Amino acid sequence: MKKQALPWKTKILVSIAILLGLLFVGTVIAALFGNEIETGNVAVVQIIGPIMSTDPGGFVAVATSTNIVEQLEKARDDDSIIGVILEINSPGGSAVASDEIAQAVKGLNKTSVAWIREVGASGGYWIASATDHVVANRMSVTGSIGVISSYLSFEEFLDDWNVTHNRLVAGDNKDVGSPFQRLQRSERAFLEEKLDRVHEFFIAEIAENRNLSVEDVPSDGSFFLGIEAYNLGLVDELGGKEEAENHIWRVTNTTVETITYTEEQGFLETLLGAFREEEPMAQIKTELPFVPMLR
Amino acid sequence: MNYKKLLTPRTGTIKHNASFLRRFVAFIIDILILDLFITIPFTPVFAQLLSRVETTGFLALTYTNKELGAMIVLFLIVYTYFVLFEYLLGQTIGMMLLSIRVQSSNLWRHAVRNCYFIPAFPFVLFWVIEPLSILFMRRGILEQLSNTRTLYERKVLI
Repeated sequence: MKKQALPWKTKILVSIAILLGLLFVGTVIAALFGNEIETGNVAVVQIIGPIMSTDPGGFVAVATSTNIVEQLEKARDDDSIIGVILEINSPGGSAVASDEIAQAVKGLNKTSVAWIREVGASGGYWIASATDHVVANRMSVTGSIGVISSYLSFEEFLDDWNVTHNRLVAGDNKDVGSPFQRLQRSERAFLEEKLDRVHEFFIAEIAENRNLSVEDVPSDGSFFLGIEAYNLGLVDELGGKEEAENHIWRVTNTTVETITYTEEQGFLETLLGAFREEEPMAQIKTELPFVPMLR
Repeated sequence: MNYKKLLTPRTGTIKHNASFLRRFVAFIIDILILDLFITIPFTPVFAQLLSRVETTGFLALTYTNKELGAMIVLFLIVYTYFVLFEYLLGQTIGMMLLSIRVQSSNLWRHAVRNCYFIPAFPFVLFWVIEPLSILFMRRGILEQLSNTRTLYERKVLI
């Protein structure tokens, strides 16, 4: 029997109906696959990307201290969890966010191991140092125990374009660091003093966490390869996930089964996640001049 | 007064076996549509599989039960796409765009002509046999087995 050619409208409607039907069925079934219950006694908490307190949105995925602290507290309160592995691949970020996570790590009361992957520098290393044992690849980038702050200054640009910036303040230091005026020597000293204070906190934390004297902490902001950090006492062991798991096994004398904690996401976040760059290299290239890459 | 009836040009349809190139492009369009809309929900299931392919290569690859299950489900969805479209409309979306139509109205015939999607031996052999058959004979082996034809329709003035 010959099939009559249907009008275009009907074809389009039927096509859309079939596609939507198949998409719906596929989504339901894929969700069933994704809901497999994972079990384990060692939680893996991932810290991937720049570290911030909250997610600013955009197309670069960040590690938010809110979510990570939540996951650490979940591991702390779960009696079936005997240890935590922090999988770190971060160039650092906010000092406050890094400190929040580091304090949550110290409050775990369970064996914790930092597993540094490509990068665990600055704030990423601050967090790693708070754990009981730090494992890094011999080529991982770590260290960078320093503080950085910068902004663009537009006062000459405004002058060139005959734009006047009217400054109205009560309190001389209210607009220190404003991009619309030249940074005065006293203002620079003021800002650098703040950076120095944060730097002192950073060094003190590393010294306490790593059982080093303040003078022995390499605090000039240099970054180190894993093998160099190992020789400096910043890293305990060279290796990867296996070495991290073995450490927990040695300490707890229990077979290790890892379970990776993931951040719960809504539908829109999952959709946006498909377009987000999780690669921390975008941030690394602006903050560190040299990263050994094999590509 | 006697007016002779005006003989205006009429349109007719010429049908002949669709060429390999036309069918191939239509197939690619369908695969792209499937990739864009249907496989997205399964991406997380295959994320680890893809990273294992990079380290072990295809030949040494082993699959978890979850991945095998997801592959079977994906095959069923892709298979259903082709069979349903061809049965209900006579053509898939790619075929619509390339003016190709399948000549058959029997559901089982459509099921047989599309069975090269089955990811198991010996059906995977049709991935080679079928294109070669279409290229040289303008009709695939499965088409001959299912007694169906894939026709290119062209409207002409007659």
